[in-house]
Amino acid sequence: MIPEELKFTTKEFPKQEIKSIVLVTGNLPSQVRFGLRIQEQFPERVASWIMFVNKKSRRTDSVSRWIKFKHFVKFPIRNFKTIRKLGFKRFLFGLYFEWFRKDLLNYGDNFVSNQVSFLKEEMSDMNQMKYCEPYKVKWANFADPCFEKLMTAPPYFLCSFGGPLIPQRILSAVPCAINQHAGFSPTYKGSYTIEWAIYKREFNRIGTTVHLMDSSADGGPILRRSHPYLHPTFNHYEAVIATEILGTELMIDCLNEISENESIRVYHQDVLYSRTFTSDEYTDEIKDQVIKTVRNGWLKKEIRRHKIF
Amino acid sequence: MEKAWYIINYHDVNWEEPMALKVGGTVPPNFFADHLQYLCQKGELVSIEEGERRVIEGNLNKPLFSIWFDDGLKGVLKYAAPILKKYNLKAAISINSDFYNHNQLGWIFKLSYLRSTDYFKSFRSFLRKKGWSSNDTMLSFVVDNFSIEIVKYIDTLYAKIPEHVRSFHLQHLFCSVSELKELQDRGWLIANHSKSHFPVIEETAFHLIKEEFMKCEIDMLANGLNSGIDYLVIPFDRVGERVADYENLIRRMFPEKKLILVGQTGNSAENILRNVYYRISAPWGWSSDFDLILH
Repeated sequence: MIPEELKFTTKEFPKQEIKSIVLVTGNLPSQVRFGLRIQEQFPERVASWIMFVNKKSRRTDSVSRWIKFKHFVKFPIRNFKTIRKLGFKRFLFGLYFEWFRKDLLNYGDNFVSNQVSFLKEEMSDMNQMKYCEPYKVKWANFADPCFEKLMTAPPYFLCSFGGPLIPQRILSAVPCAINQHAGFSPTYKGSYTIEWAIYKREFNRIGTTVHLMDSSADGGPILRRSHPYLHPTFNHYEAVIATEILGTELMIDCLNEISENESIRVYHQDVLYSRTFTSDEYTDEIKDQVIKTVRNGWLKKEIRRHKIF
Repeated sequence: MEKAWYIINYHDVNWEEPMALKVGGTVPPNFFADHLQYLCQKGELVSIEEGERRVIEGNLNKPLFSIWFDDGLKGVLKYAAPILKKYNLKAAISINSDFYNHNQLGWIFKLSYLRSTDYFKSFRSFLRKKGWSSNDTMLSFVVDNFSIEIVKYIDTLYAKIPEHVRSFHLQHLFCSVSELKELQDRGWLIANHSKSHFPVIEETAFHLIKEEFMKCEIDMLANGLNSGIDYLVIPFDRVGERVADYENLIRRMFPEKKLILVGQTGNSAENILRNVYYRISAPWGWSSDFDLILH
């Protein structure tokens, strides 16, 4: 779908017979899936794949020990009736530690394992069709020689998902630089935008955007924006994964359209109604609230409510 | 599970479910792949033709499953077809001539879109005069009280949406004629789902049934989409709301055609020989939900 409320123009791209693609991603499973899926859809057109590694992310980090300690203390109070029923000793020696391990030690830690289990089947098939191996680069190291090579022999498309902000000197060398953002631009740009939409309880802002890149975070004109399919059993990690997968599919639509027509309608973001969230703003307390919101069933209820027509 | 031939009915297979076009029936590709794996374990996946043949021959040593898609949505070609290709399975897809010709969006899609705009308040006022209250589900009220007047009012409101939005919907939601031909060339059955997707088996719109299916058939033949022209797939089939004696009435209008209904049951030789086929709506969750449906 498209951002209907934004003003649009048509952007033309240079005519070129061979439209090669360079991918720039991070190394999370959904970003690896992005690289594999583009290769599957565009055989022999992906010239190279630059993968940034060693990024620290609050999605994969644990919550702080202080928050875990608070939960550890509140845990018996919240589960008092169950303890009374089972008996304190049994609770203390057996089930408590079992619950503690599952419920608390892994609290907020299972983003990557959620991605792996969600994407496992699909990626094992796509791996077989892979023809371009990722070239690994340290996070935000734009001094790596691969970028000089990119600027001297630029591809037609530079497709990005999950990498750092790409400097303007690199973007200017490429006719068409597109980014996939797991968030509903322009209202939710930057980092952890799905989590922010859940925190603010804006269900209709859980979405994905594909846009042309400029040097700002998620700031360029929008090409596509839509909402993913969500199931009531999804936790917030799965909502993020579903959004990321949809973004990849919308990116493929855009690549097909630009390859065919050498032009595309672009929707201009209104700075007045934009908001860019930085990663510093997404604190452990916010993360804790997001997890609690989903555990309390808000996401499930909203998904069910929106399905009733 | 009974050894019968089960036709599993889907609408769209897609990662996307836009807020503004939420009509239900979407299943994401990973769930769809999970469903097929489950069905393979429980029985055998077969095409529609093979299912018919084996049921009539009585060759059922295990449950048979076939896949059927309604409305001709693009996600079927984009996501479902590659997954089905891995199983070497040819499915069926039923289409509406208004949709695949990109003439206009289906009235239910227009209504779903209007929900996300302020034009919806006009529609609510319009429906209130017809007896709707906010306790009723909008869609079931509209289908219960279906009329061309309601469809025309929806069209009037939808026409106020900017042209670039309307054309985007048309281009991106439904398979085009060339895409349907591609599926037909792969051996898929392309069936008749009526021209405009009205609830033609209910009292409110039964008088339109002949015109709706005839117009769609003429258009399908003109476009060379004839592999499943003998199958009439009833839109909005609600089991308890069909007109009395619908089977005989429809058979008189379309004597050689095969009637495809919602039945939530498997098919046996008895109903196949009567030219009536029953389909089961696919679950919208993981394959574990199939246990409730198929048993």
